[in-house]
Amino acid sequence: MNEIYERLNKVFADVFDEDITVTAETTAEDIEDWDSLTHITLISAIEDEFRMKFSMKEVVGMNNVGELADIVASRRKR
Amino acid sequence: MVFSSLFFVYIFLPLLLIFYFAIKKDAWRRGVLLVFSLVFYAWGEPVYILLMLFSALINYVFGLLVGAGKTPAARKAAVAGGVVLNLAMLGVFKYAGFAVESLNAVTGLSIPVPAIVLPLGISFYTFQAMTYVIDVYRENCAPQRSFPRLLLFITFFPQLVAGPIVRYTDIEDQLENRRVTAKQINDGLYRFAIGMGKKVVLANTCALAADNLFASTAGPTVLSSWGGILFYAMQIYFDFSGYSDMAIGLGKMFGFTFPENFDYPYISKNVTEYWRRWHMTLGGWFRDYLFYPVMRSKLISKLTKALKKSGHKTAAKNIPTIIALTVVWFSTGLWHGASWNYVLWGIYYGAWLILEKFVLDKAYKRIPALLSNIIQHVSFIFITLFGFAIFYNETNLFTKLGHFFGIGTTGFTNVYAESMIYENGVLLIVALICSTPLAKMLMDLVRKKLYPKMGEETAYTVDRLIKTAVIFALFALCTVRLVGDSYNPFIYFKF
Repeated sequence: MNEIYERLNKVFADVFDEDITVTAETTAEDIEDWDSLTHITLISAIEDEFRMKFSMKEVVGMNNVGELADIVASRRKR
Repeated sequence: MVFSSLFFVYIFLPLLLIFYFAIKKDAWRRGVLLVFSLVFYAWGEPVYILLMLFSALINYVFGLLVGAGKTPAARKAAVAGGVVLNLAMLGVFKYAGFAVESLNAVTGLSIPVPAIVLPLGISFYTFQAMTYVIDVYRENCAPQRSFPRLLLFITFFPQLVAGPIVRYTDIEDQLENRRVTAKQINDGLYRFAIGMGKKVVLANTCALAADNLFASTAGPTVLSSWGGILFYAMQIYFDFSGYSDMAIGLGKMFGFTFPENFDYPYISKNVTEYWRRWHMTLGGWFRDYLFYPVMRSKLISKLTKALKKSGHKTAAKNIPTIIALTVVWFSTGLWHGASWNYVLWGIYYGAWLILEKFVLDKAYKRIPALLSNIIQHVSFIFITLFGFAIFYNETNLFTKLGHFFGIGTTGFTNVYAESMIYENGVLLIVALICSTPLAKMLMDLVRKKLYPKMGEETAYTVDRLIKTAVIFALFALCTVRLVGDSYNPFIYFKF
């Protein structure tokens, strides 16, 4: 799981153009630029990083980075 | 039938409440709501009600088809079929005339323009029904097996004609289980009364001031243009948010919780914030059902990969968003009406959102916060007013827009425009104050400071008494005003 978070940090830093350390509790509220527009860019970047796909229900429904990481952990291909 | 009419308030609603609460069995209560909803719609659209029933039936069938699909491909085919049929229906009844007119204008042909009257509320109920099928596909909900229940969702009168855009998933559980308490009815009536007050007292009066300024016989001036659009901005806010308040209040009386639709949009700092506060259910709809799918489409992801490969990292991050936003805002504009001014209005907002996202937000961070706040709030006001100028003028758009900058006017100002604004000065101040959360903040302050001193039970009673007093006062005031004018249509009925 730690490895997932390390790689997530990299993706977040890339998408939001700043150094970000995410935890399971991090939500969109905590990151200023994380709005509905950037959300989808972020999702695509994570999908590329882990070679997996989120369903639309997951894209709209996830509440924090913890839920996101759980989905990644269960489905990633690399 | 409109909510803010004497017939609705004094005959339709009381009859419905009596029937609903006289019956105890829930299935029968749903029946009562359904029958009254159909009567409500048929009142204004005796023929097109068949179209709405047909739409409900199609979406019921497609919901079941999507649910029954064994393979992903079968499910996808079913949802695509449902979406295409819904859009085709909307296309024929809302856009056919517009499309032919535009085609004639471009090609110089003279194909006869079909004269189709826009069915009431078609933009709203088509979107809601279509959303249900998509939500079944996305597994946000199970297909509804009972046709009467799905029909009630689509035709339920409070949200049928002009929103809020209620999703099936919002009220799925409430269709089965509702509990209505006296408190809820009181709260519902209070919310309804607030909405009716917004509409009958504020919107209708602001409408008169706006019309007078625009239709000045002394000719257009710069002042009458900006003044007129300022009153129109007040009118449309109180008209539409008032309608949403009434819808939410009515829902509450029968145990339904509808999503909120407005959150004091005019206090926004910029266009991005404005669209999180104005017609929130429409913005949410376009985000979840158009923006996200476009962003996740094969075409966009191919484009992103190609840009990344060729070393354009920033472009790979930004271009997809810009394309998707353009699609979304073109559609948002077109959704409002079959006329080019709405399309232009949508693109105008799309352009501002893109500009804010990629340029302005970064620029504002570089200057002192206070200064940036002032610049943003002031420019936001002018951006919004000019946006309404595009929205308002279905005909002679560019001539009218010219007036805002002194092109084709009889001058900057004249006596008529000045006296019109002077006469309505008090109205404007009251309207401006009511469009901010000031009253709400005062009420919250009272609740926080005084209620704890009273003890829970007294505080509850006082709260109910205040609300009931407001209900009676607003009903009385609106009744007096409604007896005077016989005609007060809602702006959003035409969309």
